[in-house]
Amino acid sequence: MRSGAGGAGTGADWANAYTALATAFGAKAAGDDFWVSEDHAETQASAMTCNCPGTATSPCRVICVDHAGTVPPVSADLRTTATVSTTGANNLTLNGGAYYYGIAFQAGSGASSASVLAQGDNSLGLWFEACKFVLNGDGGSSRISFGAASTSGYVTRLINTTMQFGPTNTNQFSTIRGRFLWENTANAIAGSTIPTTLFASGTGIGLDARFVGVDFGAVGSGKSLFDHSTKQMPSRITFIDCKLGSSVAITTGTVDGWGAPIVRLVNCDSGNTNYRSAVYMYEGSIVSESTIVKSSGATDGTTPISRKMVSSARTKFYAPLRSDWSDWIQFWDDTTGSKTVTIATVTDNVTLKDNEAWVEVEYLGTSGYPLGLFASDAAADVLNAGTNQTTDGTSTWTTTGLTTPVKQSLSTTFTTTGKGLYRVRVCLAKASTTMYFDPLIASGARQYMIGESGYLNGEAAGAGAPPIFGIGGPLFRAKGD
Amino acid sequence: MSITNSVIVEDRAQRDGRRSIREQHTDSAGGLHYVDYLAEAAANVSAIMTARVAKLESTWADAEIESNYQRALDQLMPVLVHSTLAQFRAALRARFRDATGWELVRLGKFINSLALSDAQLTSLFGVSGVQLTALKTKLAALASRYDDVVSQVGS
Repeated sequence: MRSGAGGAGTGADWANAYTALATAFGAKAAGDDFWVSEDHAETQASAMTCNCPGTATSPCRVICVDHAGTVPPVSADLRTTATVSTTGANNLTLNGGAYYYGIAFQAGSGASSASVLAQGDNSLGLWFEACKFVLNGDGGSSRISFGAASTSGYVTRLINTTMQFGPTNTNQFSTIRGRFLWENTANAIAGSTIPTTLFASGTGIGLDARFVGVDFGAVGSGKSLFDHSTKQMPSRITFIDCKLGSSVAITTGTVDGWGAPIVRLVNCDSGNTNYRSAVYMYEGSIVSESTIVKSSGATDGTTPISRKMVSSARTKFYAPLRSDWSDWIQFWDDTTGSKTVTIATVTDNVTLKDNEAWVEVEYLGTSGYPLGLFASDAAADVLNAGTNQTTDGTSTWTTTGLTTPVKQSLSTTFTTTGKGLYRVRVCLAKASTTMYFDPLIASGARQYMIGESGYLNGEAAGAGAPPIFGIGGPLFRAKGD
Repeated sequence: MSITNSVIVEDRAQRDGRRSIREQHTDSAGGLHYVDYLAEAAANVSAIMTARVAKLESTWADAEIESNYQRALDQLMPVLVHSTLAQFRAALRARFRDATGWELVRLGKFINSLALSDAQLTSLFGVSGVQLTALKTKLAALASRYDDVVSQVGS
């Protein structure tokens, strides 16, 4: 394709190239390659729908290349300068399964609302590498949208691909659906106008989104990454190793329902840290904390860390805020037999009962099978009135900002029958309550901990053997080992 | 629905000097909405909170309109807490322009069921005379097609 070609428009060669993406798609078949000239600048003053013939088993490739280069193109011919645009209040829609390289998809102009809709179709995939999505219209209803409400089973992947909103309207945002993955992108949000809220999950189907190694540094003070409000579909959104803007809020909106989106942050920050994690959901939130911490507790070797759990008004004994939505605290156990797991906690003038906060352990306790069993110090059942959790007279906490610190410990004992991982989570069922817990478990002298949220027990520099990396993340020895 | 009160209920320093902030926004129905973030040490969090209010209301409205569109496809009436009926109808019009296939049929069924007057349709779609007649015919046809499909049963 080359918008400036003046030939027969058959696509046979550059001289006779198609001049429009939709036309080329309509003439070809699943699995075909489409070469887009580096100077292709297609513009249409009406709604544009590009129905790529690619299927689930035979997606197409649509690649920007130097038309003066080798035929067929080789790696050295790759370019990132083709544009496909609409003007006015006209959407640009991409259907069908395809891999796109080096193309900017742009919708709208002036004050109009116009969206880029990368919809795919049932069971299809859309992959965008070195591409751009740009909203040139300033209407507040403009969207960069992935997936359609009535389709299912598709995946969208963005690699080194940016989004741009504006020119001045901050009410625009990106709607995402299905399985969505965005990776390895510097300066992901281009332009001078940053949306107030960057993402929302679309209606109709759920969302499984992961952002890995994406620079959201432009999304800062007064902005939010994700709107998880108003009857959105069950979704899980995870940001891993991303750069954030200063003072950005991770979520906005009121979470509405038990199946509402769960938004997780794994080692993302606007500063030079390696321990910041968070999860936001209907039951409440769990975030990393660096002021109210336990002495000789969890640390990355430099910064002591605890977890702050803030339950919503909706938590209950049978529906607590659980720390495994952030991360399980996991151990590899080389020995079998009786073990005790203890978690230190502190609140501000709240004495918690065992039907309000407890620890749960999932362990291998069935001889001959890797069948997990559960141990807990929770109250016996939902009707139990509950008894106070154990007072912790041993732990020392930094309690700056707490008026009346109340220290308690959550503890349970169990017997393992097989080597393997055992996993621990903390549950907070008392509504509208803030509780801090130290994720370093006092369970014997040697502890290896894995957490997707990263450091839980880092060895201080030069203090001993280096960490061992295992499944799901780094293993760290507890301090003092 | 508007925000009637906004306060900062947590402003607590972290080890590196940044501050753990929780904003609490109360809406006109008494509902509480929270925004949590980690502010830079010197950030003017009051100003950030004040600037956020209007944007929150707009964000809630947009999210509700999106949700109500899905309700419309499911032939359910909208729930209007943060947005207005006028905003919802405008969104329907915009979506009707771009919808295709089964989505268009469902949307047409819903709009037809609203039994809007000629004046309302004219105002919403910007059509009159022959074009208005054609629109009404199209909506009725889409509704009929929807009814036909949903009435099908296996054997």
